[in-house]
Amino acid sequence: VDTADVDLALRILRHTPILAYQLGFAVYLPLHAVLGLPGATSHDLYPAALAVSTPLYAIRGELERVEDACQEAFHAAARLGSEREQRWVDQRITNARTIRALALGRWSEAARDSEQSARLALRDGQEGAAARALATGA
Amino acid sequence: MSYVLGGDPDAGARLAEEGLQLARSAGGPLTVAMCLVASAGTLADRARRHARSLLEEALALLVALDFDAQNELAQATLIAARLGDWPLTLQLADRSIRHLQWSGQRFWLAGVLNVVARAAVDADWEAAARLQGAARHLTVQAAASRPSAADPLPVAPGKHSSRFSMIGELRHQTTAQLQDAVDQERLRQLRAEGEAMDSDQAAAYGLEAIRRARQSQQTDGT
Repeated sequence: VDTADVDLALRILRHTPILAYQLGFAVYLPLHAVLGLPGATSHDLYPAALAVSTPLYAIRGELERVEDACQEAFHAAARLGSEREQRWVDQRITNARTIRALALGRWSEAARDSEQSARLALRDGQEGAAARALATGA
Repeated sequence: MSYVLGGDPDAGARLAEEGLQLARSAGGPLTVAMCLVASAGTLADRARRHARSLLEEALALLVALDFDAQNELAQATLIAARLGDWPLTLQLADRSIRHLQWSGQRFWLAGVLNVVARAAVDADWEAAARLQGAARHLTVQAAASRPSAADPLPVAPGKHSSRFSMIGELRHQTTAQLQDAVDQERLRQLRAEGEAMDSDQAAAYGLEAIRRARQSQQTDGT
């Protein structure tokens, strides 16, 4: 961020494990600073960075911001050429919606979103992510 | 535990089984622990011994990883309560309440406060009654809150107890014990005191009730 290397910053953000599943000292990345770097919005990994932000709102209880963040990530992902990258974004969005549904006591909605997240993860061989989604849905 | 809490444990068991197979195949210990907790949740009312064994394996993994997984802690608290293990329920609730309050998960916080009331009712019926009031207030509040105007109300507030049947039964048990211990007027008064608490106060009160109940269990040797 300090050197305004938007490509490196977005790649680190895209490939860092989800905060909730990091063991030991968790790596907190300056998400909003990365999103604000010059050239970020036109970068191919911008939708992924937006998607990373969606569950964070849900996890810290800012439920009213979750759906707007999901919509922003979804629309940004529409321009992507890679279906696999679109699925990655879709999966993060679905996870955020699941967390929000759980916080609001919408169990059937959470179950449906979890199953969808698991199927998206399985299509790209992400067994661990699929297993976690299925556990949430169960 | 979404299907279980929604009243469909069979669908939950199907997902939990598939998830546990995938987790064991992928090999990540945290993911395995999450799936073990989910599996235990689907079995807590039907195969208690198996559920306890899965829960113990999950908790041992989480201890080995030195990891407080927020959702799994809350689920494990409910499962321990369904298994009637009150010392374990209180131990897990103590860690769970802090996470739930921080992340604004009022439904879950209400659920955990309800099981704390059940676990503490023998030692401290006044606290149990206040916790019931606090839990009810949180549930109604969560049901009435909509993150945006476009969001429909998910379920009418009056229907929540049946949806949350896993906790509803424990709440009925607490109520039965309270009705034996205290007259209706006093019970109403104590619950009203709990209902007047906001979520910060309810969480703090729950933690204090847990501390006293655990102290009482240690004194009694239970």
